[in-house]
Amino acid sequence: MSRRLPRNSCATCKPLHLLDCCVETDNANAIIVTTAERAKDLKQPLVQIRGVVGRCSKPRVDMHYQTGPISTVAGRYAREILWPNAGVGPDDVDLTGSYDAFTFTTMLQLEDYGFCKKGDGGHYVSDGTIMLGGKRPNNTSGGHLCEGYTHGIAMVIENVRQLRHDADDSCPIGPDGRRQHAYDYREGGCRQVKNAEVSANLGWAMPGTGSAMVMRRG
Amino acid sequence: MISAQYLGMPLEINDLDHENLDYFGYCAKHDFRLQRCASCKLLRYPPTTACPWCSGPDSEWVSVEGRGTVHSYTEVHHAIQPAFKQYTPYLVLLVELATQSGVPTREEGLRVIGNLVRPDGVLAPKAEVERVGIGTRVRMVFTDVAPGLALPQWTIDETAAGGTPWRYRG
Ligand SMILES: [Zn+2]
Repeated sequence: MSRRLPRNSCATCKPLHLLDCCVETDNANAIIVTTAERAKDLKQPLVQIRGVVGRCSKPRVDMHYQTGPISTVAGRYAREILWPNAGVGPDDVDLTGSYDAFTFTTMLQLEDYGFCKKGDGGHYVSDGTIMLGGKRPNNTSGGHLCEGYTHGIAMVIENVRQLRHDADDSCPIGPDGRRQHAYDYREGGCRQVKNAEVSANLGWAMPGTGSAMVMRRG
Repeated sequence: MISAQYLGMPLEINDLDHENLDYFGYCAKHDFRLQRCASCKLLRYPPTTACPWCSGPDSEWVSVEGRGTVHSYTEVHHAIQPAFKQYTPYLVLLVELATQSGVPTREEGLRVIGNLVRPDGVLAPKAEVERVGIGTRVRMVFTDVAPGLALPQWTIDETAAGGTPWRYRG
């Protein structure tokens, strides 16, 4: 889906248009977590959880629109827990997975977690930064808007694959059983972010509540 | 308990919900009241059991002037409720009251949700919807739903001076 599409689709609740909204999807996902010690012996490359913030809320939560600027979301508060816990900052992150129930949720979170200045989200998501081959790709499997509404979990699975350097794209599988990525990002081509080491998942429950996770390869 | 129908939607306020029974009870008399905390003296919206600022459990209902400025809005083109379809596009407004604006911090205020309606309480026509955006001055009117139940709503305050509101043009 290109950047021009949503605005050309019919208006649902302005400023949102039809394609600003993801489609509800029936699906099931699972994430298997074990100790780093045990993971070292497993078949897949190790991906470590470096920091988590769970259900962090803005003051007054459900009534968040009563408190402070309404464009400030839970990420503004969650970032103060997430980055110190993970021992990294937004500049260290190679790719993001930012919950896109709507186009604006992705943008507000990228702003509030500090990937760009507050108010610059529109430029950040449209200047090539978040595209494959850009400085910090976002939602590389398509996100909720293009892949399916999995309440953020498919974005975690995608980032694990990216950090294993094993995105399940159309690149050929080599004799070692691993995918030989071409890093050719034309449509239908490679989806693997080159040298991905650190990822951030930014989860949205509602504007006033969110969760996030930082993962690192190896 | 209050039980009624509004544009095809069941509206119900349970007996346990003292604060909303009181709030909508005053609205039915076209009297807009909010709780004032007995401890910190701040008004709050929506009605709640305890004060969001100091957690004080005691409050009294005081009349508040129903005037304010549109803080944000959404313009609904795709109505979920069939009975709303004839009124599209209609506005859902978040109105910051003139009372207690910028208190207790500069970024805070009493922001009251309602639809844009005509002065008689019916959802406003397209020509009025298109005049309203962020910054429009509005005043409260009540939509009578049933005996004992009225909804606080907003209509353009034609007496208020104001600049050009911001509207999404897409
Ligand atoms: Zn108080």
